[in-house]
Amino acid sequence: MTDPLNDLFTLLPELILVAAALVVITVDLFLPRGAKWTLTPLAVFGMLLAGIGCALVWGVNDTVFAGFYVVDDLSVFLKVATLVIGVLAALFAPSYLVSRRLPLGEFNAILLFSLTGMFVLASSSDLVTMFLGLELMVMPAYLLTGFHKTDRYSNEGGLKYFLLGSFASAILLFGISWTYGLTGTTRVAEIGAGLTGSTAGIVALAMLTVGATFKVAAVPFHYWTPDAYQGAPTPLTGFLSVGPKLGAFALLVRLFVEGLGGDVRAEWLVVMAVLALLTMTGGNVVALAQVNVKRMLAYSSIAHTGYIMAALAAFAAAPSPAVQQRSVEAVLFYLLGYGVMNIAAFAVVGMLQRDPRRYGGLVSFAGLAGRAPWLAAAMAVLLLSLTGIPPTVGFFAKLYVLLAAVDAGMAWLAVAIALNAALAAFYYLRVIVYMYMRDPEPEPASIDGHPFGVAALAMSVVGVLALGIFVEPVLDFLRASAGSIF
Amino acid sequence: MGLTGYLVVSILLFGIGAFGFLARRNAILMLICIELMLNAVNLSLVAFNAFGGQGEVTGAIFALMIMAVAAAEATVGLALVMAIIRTRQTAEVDEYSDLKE
Repeated sequence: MTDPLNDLFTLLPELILVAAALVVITVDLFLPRGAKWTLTPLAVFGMLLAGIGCALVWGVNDTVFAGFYVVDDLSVFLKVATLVIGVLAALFAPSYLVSRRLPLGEFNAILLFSLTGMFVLASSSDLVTMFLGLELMVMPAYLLTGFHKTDRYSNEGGLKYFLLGSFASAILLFGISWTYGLTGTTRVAEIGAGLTGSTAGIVALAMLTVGATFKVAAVPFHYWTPDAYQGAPTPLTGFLSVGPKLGAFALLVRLFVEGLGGDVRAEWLVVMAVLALLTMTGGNVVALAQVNVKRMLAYSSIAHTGYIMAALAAFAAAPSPAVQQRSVEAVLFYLLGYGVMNIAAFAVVGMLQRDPRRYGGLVSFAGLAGRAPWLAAAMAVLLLSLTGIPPTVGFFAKLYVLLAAVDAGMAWLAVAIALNAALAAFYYLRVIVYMYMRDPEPEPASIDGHPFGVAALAMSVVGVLALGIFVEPVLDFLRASAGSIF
Repeated sequence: MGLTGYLVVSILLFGIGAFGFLARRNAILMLICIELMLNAVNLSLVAFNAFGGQGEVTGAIFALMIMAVAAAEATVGLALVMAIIRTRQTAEVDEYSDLKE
């Protein structure tokens, strides 16, 4: 495709998001203080328009801009999942931000820019676009972590995330530079062949892997995660724990599944499998010891990273293209399901923090079922889904990863996932026990019932159940998307 | 001086940056060390491009992109450092230990 206008058309979803961010910033200047809440529907409207843009580029399946960018069905699925997360994040945030006098306009604009970065990552077919997309995604994420400027914890989380994230970016870049030097190209599809056989190639590959696994928060590169997640304003933590993770997995899928799939798979398989095992076990074991629900969810998000990496390891070990495709489908489905349930679980923690002195301790959940039965029921559904109990989306997400691992002949990894899920049940169910079987505190935390937040929570719970019960349409979408790269 | 010379300098620069990042405890100095690492990457990219580019300019363009990103990164980083210095009155990262188990 050489027509530049046609190339621009395939960029429609990204252009809409950037335009929406600029409109939000501009409109914010002219709105009186009492009308700032309208920025949230405005941002959500922009995301829905971008969703329509995604529908228009469905089925294009072409590389554009001289091979720097690819618009295939896989990228469309990732973008739709991104938008689901974005809409939920935009709706969950206002109550928490407004009660702490934090600006909504800046939040929505930064969120939209971060989503744009995730879009670019999902579509990148060149190391240059991949790096630019990654930075466009994580720099807003640093700002969102430190969004509560006057709060010590938010500052500290933001700075730690920034310093370690930039360090990892530099390592990733060094790997990219050497990849370019060794292969003479930055096209992802062409770099695989040049990286095998030489020591420098292995070093470059190792640096790429370190940089990328850092961004998904895999053990042993996870040290920034709990601090950044605990420090950030709680609903924004929900976004940070799923948005940049989805983007980073998009990078892993693009880089390793498409680029290095053929030639370096054997080397890469062992690394991925070991990292997956370390990540899920490490995350779960430390999560067991947490009394702060926010920090517990932060560690559990590391464990979920491990499950998704197990599906990637299954891809690398898969004996046939059909099994490979199923592994990639497992990755994508897990990302979508995890995105919805995790962002909502963090939002519930945020709703119990109306009083700014509360930092999400386990005791604030005590006796919640008596005080707010609907909220407790919603949290229970989300936690059961995170544990992986049917008929929720969490169950099917884990099931597909397990099946992919077994199909790929890695039964030991499947056993590890099952054992880890049992371990995780202990700390997720502990919150449910607190909600339903403990007496409330003498002066329980007041509950934030902002209409946007309640609507988003209802959407998430319905989504978690609907994705679990009516899974077939989503799977069709998924198969068509994953099929576009095989 | 051939490609090897440039690469040795680049690796040294990257090593100094990485060591400085891990050894220094001042947030602003750590930021400077990250910039050193990015500049090492730029040097290696331009060198790879000049010696093996066969007329194409991907490496040089990439280096320009990295400069733009590094500037944005410094802006974001300094904003975060400013915010934390306002609440803690120090830029020493060892003092930032409120978030832990």
